[in-house]
Amino acid sequence: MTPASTDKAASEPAATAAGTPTSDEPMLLQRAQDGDLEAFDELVRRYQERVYGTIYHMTSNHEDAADLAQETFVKAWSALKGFKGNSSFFTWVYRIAVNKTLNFLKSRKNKRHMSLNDFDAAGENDPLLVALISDKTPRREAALSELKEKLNAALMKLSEDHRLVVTLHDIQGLPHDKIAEIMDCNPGTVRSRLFYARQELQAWLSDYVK
Amino acid sequence: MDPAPENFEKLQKLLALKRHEQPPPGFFARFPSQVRARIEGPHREQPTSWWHRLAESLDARPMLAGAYGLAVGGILLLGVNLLVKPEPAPGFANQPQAGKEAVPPLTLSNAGILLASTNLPPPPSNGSPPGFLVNPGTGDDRTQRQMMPASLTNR
Repeated sequence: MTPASTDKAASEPAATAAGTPTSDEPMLLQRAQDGDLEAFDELVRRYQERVYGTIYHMTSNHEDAADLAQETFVKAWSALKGFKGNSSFFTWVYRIAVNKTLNFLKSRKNKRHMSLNDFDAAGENDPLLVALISDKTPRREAALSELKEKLNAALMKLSEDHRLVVTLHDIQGLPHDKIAEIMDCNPGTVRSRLFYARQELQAWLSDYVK
Repeated sequence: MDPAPENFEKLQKLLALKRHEQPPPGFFARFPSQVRARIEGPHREQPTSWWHRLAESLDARPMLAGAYGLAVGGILLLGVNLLVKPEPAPGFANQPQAGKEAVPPLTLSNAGILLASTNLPPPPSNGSPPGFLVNPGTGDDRTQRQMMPASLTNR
């Protein structure tokens, strides 16, 4: 398990809720567009967790996620002068991340298995998790490991579009309209994809969600 | 139309557990400097060709990429249409255009007139090809000489 407290401090102020820009963001953006790397660093700190998290849940591999997240911000820096502010910086960066991830997944020949071994301490003691596991078997550690594997395997079985909406909505907590903006589709499509993705997941994880 | 509501509460709680998954300790503390190193580093990947640069510039603009795709597709279709023009209707094939001299179509009857205007011998009346074409080397030597360049026939 990896306590995230040290990283939380490093990434303060934390990413804004659902990507709502803070009042100083336009100023930071302007400075970054003028070539100020310190200002861009601040923007990276604000959104790195969300960008990394999205890519990680899509790829299920830390190394790939780290690399793609870096590429996302490098790309954002090089394209920053062309950013006109038609959407928020958050949406724009997310779009770069999502496109990079989808391209990566398409090009990845051999799908590697998950290395999701890092529920943090809070996650392991989550009441739902404890209840789910203790109800099923006394061998808690083995059951925890099995749950993680099944959850991740089920997610990886989803199509990329379905996995993306589940990741952005159910894991990252973004609202439908924001996801629609990121995925360049309408909110109805997002709702529909989410519904069918959840149905599939519910069937695959029926042992845990009865 | 939205899909029918269904109870996904437990599933959502299960999925929310994934929020607790974290990268190795210190990852986010190091991340901005790693990004910066890639931005400033000498080994920063540069797009090598115009194609890579175009792909890079379209990376964050799927609508623009789609528009480019449509435009290129349209130009290609237009090009193909111009190259493969449909055959004119039979009724219009022999009609002379205004201001232009009509060119009669080549038929067996006027092929002889065309040949007569050259130095070549007329075709045999039975319609068979000249012997030298059927059996090269055994045919009419005079015909072959007529078709040879002067520098070779004067030897």
